[in-house]
Amino acid sequence: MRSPFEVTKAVDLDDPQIERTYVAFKGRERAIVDPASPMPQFLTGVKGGGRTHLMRHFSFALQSSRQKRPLLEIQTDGYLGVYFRCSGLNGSRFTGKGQSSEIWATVFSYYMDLWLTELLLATVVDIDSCEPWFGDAAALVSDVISGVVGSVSARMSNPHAPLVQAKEDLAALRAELDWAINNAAHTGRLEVSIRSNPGELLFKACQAVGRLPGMKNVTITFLADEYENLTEEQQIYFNTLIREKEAPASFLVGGRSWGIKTHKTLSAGEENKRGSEFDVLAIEDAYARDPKEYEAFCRHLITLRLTDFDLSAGEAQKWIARLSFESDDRFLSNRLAAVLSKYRPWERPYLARLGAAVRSVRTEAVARGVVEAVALPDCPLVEKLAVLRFYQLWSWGRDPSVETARTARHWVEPLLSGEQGPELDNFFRQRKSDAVAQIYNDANRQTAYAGFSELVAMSGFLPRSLLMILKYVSHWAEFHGEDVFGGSAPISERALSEGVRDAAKWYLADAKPLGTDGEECEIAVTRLGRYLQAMRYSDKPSEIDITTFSSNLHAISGEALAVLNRCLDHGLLAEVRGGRSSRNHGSTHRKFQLHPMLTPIWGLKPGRRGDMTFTTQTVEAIFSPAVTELAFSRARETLEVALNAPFGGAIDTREPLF
Amino acid sequence: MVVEYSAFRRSRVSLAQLPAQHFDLFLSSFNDSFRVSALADAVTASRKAWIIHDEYRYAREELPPGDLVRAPQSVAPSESWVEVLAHFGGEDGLAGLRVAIDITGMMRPHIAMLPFALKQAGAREVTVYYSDPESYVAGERTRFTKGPVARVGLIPGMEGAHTNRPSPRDVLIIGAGYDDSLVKAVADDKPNAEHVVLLGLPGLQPHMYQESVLKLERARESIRDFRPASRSFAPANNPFATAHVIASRVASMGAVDHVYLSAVGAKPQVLGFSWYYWCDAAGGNSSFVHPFAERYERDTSNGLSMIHEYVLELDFVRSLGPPAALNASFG
Repeated sequence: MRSPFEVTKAVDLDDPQIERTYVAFKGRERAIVDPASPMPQFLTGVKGGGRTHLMRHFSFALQSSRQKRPLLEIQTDGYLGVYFRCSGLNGSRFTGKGQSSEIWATVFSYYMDLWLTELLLATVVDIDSCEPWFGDAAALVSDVISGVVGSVSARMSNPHAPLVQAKEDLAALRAELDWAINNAAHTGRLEVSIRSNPGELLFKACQAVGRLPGMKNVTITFLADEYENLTEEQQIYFNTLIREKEAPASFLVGGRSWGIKTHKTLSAGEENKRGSEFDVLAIEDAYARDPKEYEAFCRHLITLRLTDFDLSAGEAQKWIARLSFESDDRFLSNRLAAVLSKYRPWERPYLARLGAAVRSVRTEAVARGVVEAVALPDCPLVEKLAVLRFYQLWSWGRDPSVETARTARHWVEPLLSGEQGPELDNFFRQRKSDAVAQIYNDANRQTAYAGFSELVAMSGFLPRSLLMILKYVSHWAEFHGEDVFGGSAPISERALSEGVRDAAKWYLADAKPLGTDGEECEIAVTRLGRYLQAMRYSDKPSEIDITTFSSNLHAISGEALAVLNRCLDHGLLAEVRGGRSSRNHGSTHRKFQLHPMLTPIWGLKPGRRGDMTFTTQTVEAIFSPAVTELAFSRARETLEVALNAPFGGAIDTREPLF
Repeated sequence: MVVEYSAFRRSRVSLAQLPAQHFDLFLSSFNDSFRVSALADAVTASRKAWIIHDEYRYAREELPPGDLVRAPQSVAPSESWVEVLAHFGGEDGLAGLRVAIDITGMMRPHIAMLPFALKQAGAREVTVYYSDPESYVAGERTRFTKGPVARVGLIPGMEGAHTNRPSPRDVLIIGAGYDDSLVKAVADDKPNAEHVVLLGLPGLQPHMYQESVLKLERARESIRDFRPASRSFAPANNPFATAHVIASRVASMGAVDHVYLSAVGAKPQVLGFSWYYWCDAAGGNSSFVHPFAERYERDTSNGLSMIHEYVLELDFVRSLGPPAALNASFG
């Protein structure tokens, strides 16, 4: 392996690797969910939050690796984790083929009972192989199984291993079902013999296992991963199991938020209620409640990867520090001087554009005077802020004159001596990031991203995204000939920028749903990104570090709302809790943030500060699949006209648009 | 039974050579490609019929004259084949007939089901044609699906048996072509399986292998173990070699819980996956997984460079009896 970040998905790790790379959030084993809880739980979220890693950590295979005596570990833990992936059921088999949905619902429920009971027995057989249950204890379990499904095979192949025999009997019944289900596609007939009532086999088997010596007070928790692979009808049956569950059985269900399709049950049409029949938690919400703990969690996770790659703990910490820019003053003078080195001071692109803007409304002499008045060649950042101040004054109605330029310069100059008052200090802190991004953009350079904290923020509480960023960054650094894991110099700005951008593109491709739904989402977030980009890189951004918008959504079309909700479900947008109060009416607007992983595509900052209020027309232009690209471009141009000098020529394009 | 795939007959013919053989029935999937119509014109047969796939979305007035039979867009190609073959007598309708089929324009799920469907209709031996294009209309950027993949699922009737373990060892063998979105979709659907990518080498044309590799790069993050060393290769125009390579690869893997097959590359390669499935894997722990799209492009190629002829001996197709060895696994 050329990088410790090569493997980014839990499915690519074997059991020992899962255990070796496991990090407990907040340092507490059950800080997110409790696998021993008798209350069924849904662990949801978008891709990459670490659900599968956590659920496999709770599985018996990993429980047994933590103790020489697995039964002792189970007793200590208070639960037995029976892990399975719903994708293994290949749920698409249970549909069509000339059969009614009622028939398939019946067959699926029987298949699911066999599947889960077989898994339970396989787990119990594993325990038995380490610490055999002697005498009649094991036979009692197999008796219960045969009591429910009857005699399966005429000849017992394992008379001295009743648990193995019971497991094989269930496997045989399931294989018959596989065959019948497959062949129904060719024959149009589905001939199966259903031997138990829904749930009966599973819960009786759980109770029998619970009576085995050493299993008292142990919860048998079925860890159902990849739940989104079940259809709505199949989830209704699983919900029924959750509702009708009998101790010691319990369930921990892992799946993507959009994949939890229903909480309905077959129990007289009742719906499971959150808090009564189940709890639900999105894993990234658990991280988001404590961003500092999340950063510490990420630091621990990365350190483990690096030490597993043969770096010492100290070297690992130093490597993380190498993700930062080289040290610089607070005006980033060295970095920005390098970015602008190809221009002579008076030819810096933002000064040239300023001159052109003034020239379009005043004389050449005034334009030259304005540029000379704001020029601070030794400190590009303060110079850029002086230009921004000039544009602000202009947009507020001041004459674009040399006098106004001098006012702007005098306003920012105290920064150089460190004598600024609170208002200027605030202006500097708020506007610095956008000004730096604009200087890069003006110089045809990609916006720079660096520092472990910024990369963690960019991951949007999805650890896999952080791993992907580091994977791409290390690839690019290696490509540029840097000594990525052996050297001591900071990882280059170029490798960081390119890596972050590649990771962002990966995220967009990976997170969007399949099919037309996904195409519509991609178009919508691309439009949103371009719209916010137009704001950030304008002469006078009306919001700071913009990635967020709010809207009342009152008159939005159903089509646009559907796309917006789909973007939320799939982690392309995040909703900000609490929304925001409307500036005019006191009502609450819903507030949405472009997912931080996507921000580098449009040179935006991953954090959340400014918030732009979108009209219904703007929301439609971005999210409605019915709005053409041309119509969206016009909406964006309207914004550009309003935010760029000479500021007066805003055109209302709403009529031609809609 | 070990199937000796290299013993199956295949050859190359020119358009001029085609009339030398006479068939009782010739079937071809209609689309706008020159190579499809040219081949259909050249074949001599007592009866010729066009299969009209719903996925191409032809309007009635766009269809050619003559014997037309609709292949309904269906989740289950087995059901679609039943409707098509009902026009030719249904069960045993093809018994004793000399049948030829051009798969150039055929939907991939239909090719996957083709050997079994023909055997069910009573055929014992069928000649299959495929015509190579000179090039694709947009080179390696050619997309064969029109619009995105709508869903990924097992092809009904090719679903096999399934073992049940917490962490099963599954394998997904992907026959890859130009359309990286199809490769990505199917790899994303089976993220837990070991991924084996089978590429056509040599390609249908000399430049096509490199172009496929370039396109595959775009699905890199979805494919587990992207290293070139983990790939398999078989000539893109030789289904029997493809079947042989798959059989060898599966045999070399040792104990495996389930083998998923997905052929999204050139049509002869799809036929090779299908031929392996029906001769070697049907009824066992193997299934065919496919990324279904709503629509397909009607014309993706330029010209006709060569015609391939494959003879399918359908006695080799396995019957789907009850499970002999319950819960059996490979190796």
